[in-house]
Amino acid sequence: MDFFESQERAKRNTSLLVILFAVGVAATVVSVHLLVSATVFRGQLADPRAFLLSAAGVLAVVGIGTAVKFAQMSHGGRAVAEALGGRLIDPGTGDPSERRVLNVVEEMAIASGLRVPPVYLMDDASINAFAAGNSEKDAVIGVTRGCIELLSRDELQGVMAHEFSHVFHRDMRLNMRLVGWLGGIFAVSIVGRILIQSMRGSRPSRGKNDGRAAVAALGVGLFIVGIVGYFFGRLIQAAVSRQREYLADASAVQYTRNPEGIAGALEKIAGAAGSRLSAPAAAEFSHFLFANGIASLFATHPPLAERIRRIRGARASIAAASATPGLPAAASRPAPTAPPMPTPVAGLAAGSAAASAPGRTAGEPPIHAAAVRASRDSMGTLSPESVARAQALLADASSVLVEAARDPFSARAVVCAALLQDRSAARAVQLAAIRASDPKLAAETERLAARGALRPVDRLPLLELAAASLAALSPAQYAAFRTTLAQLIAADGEVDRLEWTVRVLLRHAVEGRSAAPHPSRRATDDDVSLVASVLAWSGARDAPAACRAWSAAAAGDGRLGARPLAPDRCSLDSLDASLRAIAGSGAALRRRTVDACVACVCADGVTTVEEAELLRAVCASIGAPMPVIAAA
Amino acid sequence: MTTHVQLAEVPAPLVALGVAVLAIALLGIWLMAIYNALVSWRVRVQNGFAQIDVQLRRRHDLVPNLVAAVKGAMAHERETLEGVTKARAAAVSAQAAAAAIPGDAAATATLAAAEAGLQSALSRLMIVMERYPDLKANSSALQLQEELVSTENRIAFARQAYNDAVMTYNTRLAVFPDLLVARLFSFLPAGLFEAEDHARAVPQVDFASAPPPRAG
Repeated sequence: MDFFESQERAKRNTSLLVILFAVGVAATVVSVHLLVSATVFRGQLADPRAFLLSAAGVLAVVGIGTAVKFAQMSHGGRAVAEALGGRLIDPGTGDPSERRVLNVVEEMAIASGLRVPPVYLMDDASINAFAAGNSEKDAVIGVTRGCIELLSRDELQGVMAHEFSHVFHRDMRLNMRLVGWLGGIFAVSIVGRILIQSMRGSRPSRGKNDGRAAVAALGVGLFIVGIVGYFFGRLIQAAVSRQREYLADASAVQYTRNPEGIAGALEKIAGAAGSRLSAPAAAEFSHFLFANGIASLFATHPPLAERIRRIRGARASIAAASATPGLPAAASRPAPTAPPMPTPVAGLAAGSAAASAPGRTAGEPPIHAAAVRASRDSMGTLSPESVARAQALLADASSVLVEAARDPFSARAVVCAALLQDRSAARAVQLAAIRASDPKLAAETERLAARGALRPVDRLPLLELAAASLAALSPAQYAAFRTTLAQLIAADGEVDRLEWTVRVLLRHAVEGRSAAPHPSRRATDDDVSLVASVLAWSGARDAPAACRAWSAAAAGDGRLGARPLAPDRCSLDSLDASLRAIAGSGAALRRRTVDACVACVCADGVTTVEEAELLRAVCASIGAPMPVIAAA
Repeated sequence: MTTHVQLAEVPAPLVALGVAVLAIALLGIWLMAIYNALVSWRVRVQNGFAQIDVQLRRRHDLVPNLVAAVKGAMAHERETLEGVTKARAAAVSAQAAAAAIPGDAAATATLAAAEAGLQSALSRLMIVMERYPDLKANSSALQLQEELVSTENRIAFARQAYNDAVMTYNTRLAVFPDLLVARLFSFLPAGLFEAEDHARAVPQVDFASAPPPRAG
């Protein structure tokens, strides 16, 4: 199934969820009404005013409970991690088990083009894991101590592949919504409990004793009714999550092509370790977990034995299926003659010309368009080859740089070092710009630039690692860094492709982790055009080349318009805004954007590393992570 | 109709009680929201501290290596070397104590003082190292020195981020109405990680008689 189709399917499941929720609320209203009639109104069941009163009460409590939970969940995946008692694993950690799980997660993130998610550690001896978040931007992964200590690397990879599949398919978003809706239903039992506790200490004062006793009974009753709500809540959780767990297991097998990994992990859970979490919030979030988190009538996960059976059965089908799909033929599109563009002013076009000049690309072999298309087709998946490639990249890239990328202070220097020009005159200007706002950063940048030679193919993985570390900056520090970076980019008078890539990457990686996401406006066709135009210009030496690239994209998408946007209308800020808008829109628009961009990049049949970087960064920022593109 | 008669007999206080119940429910839920927010800010402070912790560990690990590398050339500088080793030991225990009670203001202050002591002992060592030209040729000593400087930068940066988080958290704790929830659930203000820039002697902190952590 296509990447975007599977995301759409997850969205449809949300409708099912809402229906079940409505049923649950209705059942709760009826139960409360019966209770209230029995205790307060002395058995008058059919009275509409009494019914309205109880209905209003229940809806108010449920509504507010739901609103509060949604507000909590809007903080993103870390809200779940914190509720479950997770502690963020520092990227620079020295603990070997922590380091190992971070390596596994980093490799998979880099291999698939997904932003590196923070990993939270839950101090629990059982084996369990989760992926939570409203989108890729605020996704987090959680693991228990038992998971990182008791599992082998293959088994850990299997579990992480399962969690990554939840991220790709946007299951997490559905799960977050579920917590929100269920919060309302559970709230009724909370109200009941409050009532009981407030009545407990009450003295018989003036006022009818009947009234007091009735209210006490009401409290007990509401609490019991709350249990009814809890019943429905758990039922909803179970209904929604079981099927998706099978799917995630299957995806994990597909990604790793190693059923033993995930089967081994499940077997260890079935053994002594178990998967029960001791955190009190485990019940509320049990549908997020890898395996059952609590003992319950309504298991959110299929039985372990059944899961293992299905996974082992997959071994046969893997042997049967062919390894890679055939590469789609790169059709040569005839470029219709387009009227010449007006001479572009300084900015994007000049920047792209400068980028083609020997500023950075030091004779790297170009990438074939077919490889780009293959990557697009395997969007939102992992393969052992891409993970191995990511592993190799991380090992090859000078270890000084990789180590520096894992610490917030030096991660900034890694970003600056990646942007430094080769020519010494330009480099001196850039360093002076950094020094003007932050001398220590300039010194660290020079130190790193001297120590590690940065191959272009290593750049994007390193930048992705650095971007993950930069999320640990405080808001003030991040603002200062953005200013320094802006000055660095402006130092040489033009903005080239790498600088665009860095901007897009940073915005995407860091902003998701801030307190509350900015609401984005609706995306329009203009946004798609803007993004595609940027890609068209980025690969072109001159206006006619850009128009040819644009025509290739327009051939596949009628709504793109006759010509790309003029370069002076493509600014970094407008690109940011468009990307943010597109990221918040539906699968259809995002698919159009991705296809237009890929068409622009592939139009001339040859792609440089920098074009590929920009393409992957743009796709990642709109929630369509593209795997590492195979070099020629 | 019997119904109307019955409803007319519903005592007004009962209706008022119903409204009060609803109000209590709303209040409870609102308090829960504030509680969650405070937990979230506190976690941010703890994460910030963990970051400093990682770099402090790195610094502590580098010190014995540096001492071993220069001991041969600097045989007569026993006092300086011992000073560094003692300062490091004090810092390591302070770090363990602070890790045991994350976010405790007193432990953080003690740790900050111990680290400042280590930092000044190290800078004294670096100054003394300048007097020994053989050491300039010693590549491992140079590399360790460079890594120490790099670690200093990272510690300073992490400290800045941590202090930013602490300021925000402490402000939230002091503001009405969050301050009521804070008092109710014993959210304690966190301590800033202050650096003392002036050189000072290693503080003689006796951990055996350290005051017990505040109940919270």
